[in-house]
Amino acid sequence: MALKRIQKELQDLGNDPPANCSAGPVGVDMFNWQASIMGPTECPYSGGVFFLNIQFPSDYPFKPPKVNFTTKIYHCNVNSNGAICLDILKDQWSPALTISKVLLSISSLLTDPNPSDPLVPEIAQVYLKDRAKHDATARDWVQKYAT
Amino acid sequence: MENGIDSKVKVKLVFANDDNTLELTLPLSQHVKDFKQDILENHWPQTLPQDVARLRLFAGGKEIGGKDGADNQRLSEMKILADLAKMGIPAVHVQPVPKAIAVAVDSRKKQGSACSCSLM
Repeated sequence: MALKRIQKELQDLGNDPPANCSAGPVGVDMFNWQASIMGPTECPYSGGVFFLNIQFPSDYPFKPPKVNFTTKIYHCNVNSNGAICLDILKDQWSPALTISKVLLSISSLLTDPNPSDPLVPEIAQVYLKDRAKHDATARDWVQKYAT
Repeated sequence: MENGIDSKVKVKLVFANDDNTLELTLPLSQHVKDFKQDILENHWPQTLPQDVARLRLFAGGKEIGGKDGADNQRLSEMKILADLAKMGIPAVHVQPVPKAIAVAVDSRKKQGSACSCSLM
């Protein structure tokens, strides 16, 4: 069931690729994927490319995939281990969601961080109190790690 | 994807953060750097910024070519293209690195290499 669904998602990604996300299996194991998200325009992550690891559970799509950044990113909803605080990856997961939709949601999170539910409270505070400083640091990290 | 010395692969270029897509048929003997040059010179959309220092290409989540000489590889060496071609036309995402960012990265590297620290 899970394998068939994952294969279908891979096929769909090829037929209708999202504009700024690329994803596929790392090797022969269809349950272990990698993805890249190109930083959206008009946000401090623009121009950068962020790699992610995706692990599908054996009971996918009934359980959400485990997704984490492998590229360092200065973002209040992503910690230093690459863990992502995003509701659809936890309690708001639905079997109707796909990895394409998940990647698009993560891309949206880059444009619109959610400082009210931060994984890194210090970054959320900077985002809320000194946006210029936040954006400058985020751009600096893009140059260091994502270019 | 065809096999053999004159084999070719058809790819679908997807320009990052843009609606433009384009299908191209490429010789597998082509080097990644020449593929990138061809995109910039002949297929670059007017809707995207023109101040491009270099391109980065991605397929199946992996980077095709890249820094440190990886662009000197031939497309035939890109296993990911062959794997994706088995399921249809592989999507290749194109991400420009703007000149402003490339200059900043270069100057950061020079600053790093100019470090006057000495190892004891």
